Amino acid sequence: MPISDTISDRATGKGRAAPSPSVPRRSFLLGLAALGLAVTLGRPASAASTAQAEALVGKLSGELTQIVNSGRGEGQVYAGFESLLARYADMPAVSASVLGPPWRGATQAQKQAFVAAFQHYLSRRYGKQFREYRNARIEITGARDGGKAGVLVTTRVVRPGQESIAVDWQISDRSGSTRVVNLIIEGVSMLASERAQVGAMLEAQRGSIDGLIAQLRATG
Amino acid sequence: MRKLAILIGLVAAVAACSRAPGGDTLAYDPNEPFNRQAHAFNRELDAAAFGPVARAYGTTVPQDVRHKAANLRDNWRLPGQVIQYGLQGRGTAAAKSTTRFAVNTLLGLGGLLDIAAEMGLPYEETGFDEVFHSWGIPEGGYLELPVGGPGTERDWTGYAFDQLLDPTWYVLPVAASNALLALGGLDIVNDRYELDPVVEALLHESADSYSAQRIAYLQNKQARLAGGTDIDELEDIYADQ
Repeated sequence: MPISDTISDRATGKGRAAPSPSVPRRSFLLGLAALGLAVTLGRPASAASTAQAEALVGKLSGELTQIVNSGRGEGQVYAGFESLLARYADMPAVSASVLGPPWRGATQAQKQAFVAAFQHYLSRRYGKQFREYRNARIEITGARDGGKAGVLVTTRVVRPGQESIAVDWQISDRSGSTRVVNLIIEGVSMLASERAQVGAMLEAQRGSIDGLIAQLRATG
Repeated sequence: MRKLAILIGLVAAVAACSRAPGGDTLAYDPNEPFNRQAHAFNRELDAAAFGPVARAYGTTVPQDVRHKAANLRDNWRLPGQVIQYGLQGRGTAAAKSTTRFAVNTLLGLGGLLDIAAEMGLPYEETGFDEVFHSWGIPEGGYLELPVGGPGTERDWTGYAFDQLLDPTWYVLPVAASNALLALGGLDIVNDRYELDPVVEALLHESADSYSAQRIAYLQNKQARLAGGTDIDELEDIYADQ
């Protein structure tokens, strides 16, 4: 399980070994300086990236409310969500995590087709909910550093006359750019939910990744 | 005396709530065969009766009336909440519920109007599920009941305690208790209406609606009890890549 892996990584603190005493003093100092630099550069989520994550969610939620309130037709709204996913989320990494072990056995062409089909499916499945948030506004309520897992930016979707909804965005820069890697609505993780759904679909397709891709693409 | 016997039975039930091995609650599903049967039944019930009734209620009864019905029901849950907060050792929350109950009962026409919310005392849900959680009792296995819907072993035991230790049943005249029962039913119907798109997606548009509802229920419950998403439970999606 990914979560317990993270915990055991943290517990063993793997990586950084202590410099051996036989190393000459000068290169030891140089090494120390390099290590310091590596620590600064390699820190998975610094204060700066918490701010970056918040800025990303601010921009993303601005675009999201614009699409929802645009008054455009259903098809155009879903196309808008799909483009949002492609630009703000790390879809290849999300797809690999959701598909799990079968991802490693897939061909390059299958991987590409799966990413596109899963993006289509997600935009419909979550788009139906987001379409209900008309006239709502999204307020950022905070950002917390979750270490290797990334930064969690918490927001509230405030709807007139109805209860507000807690939507949390998990942001990571481990791919090299700051991207959304998970969406948590009222505590419910998209990754965990969709891993179960995709797993069930793959089982119904008797393990055929091509069958799974066709099914995801057909989501209305 | 009979109530005492039921209570003792329930205490034994909650004491038997098991803990997921390795702490991975999403993989732990000891009642799965029973749950899946109950789920198939509940899904049909929702498609044939519960969903259509909820949509009819939501579209014919104005929002204002539906909210007043919900206010009234929520108000009369407060005496029970005072006990529940007390057992969690949350004195301030118990005092807030007491004040809320006094304000809305006396000034809000018995709870029809939610004046306390405007004074900064909004309704906050609690129950014996939260009491048991605060005492460190594990949630037990997921348990979906026919008609009842999703829950955990701890939640269902808590629900029974909520009913048995609700002082309003013992104090109010029978007619008022019956009216509260009916309002409680309407409250559930209204929730089903307000969550219609989510429930439709989970129950009727999922590849495996049992696991979709189960994961959504368990994660939502854990977040509610923890007061938000637990940052230490976030997945590192780059761990195996």
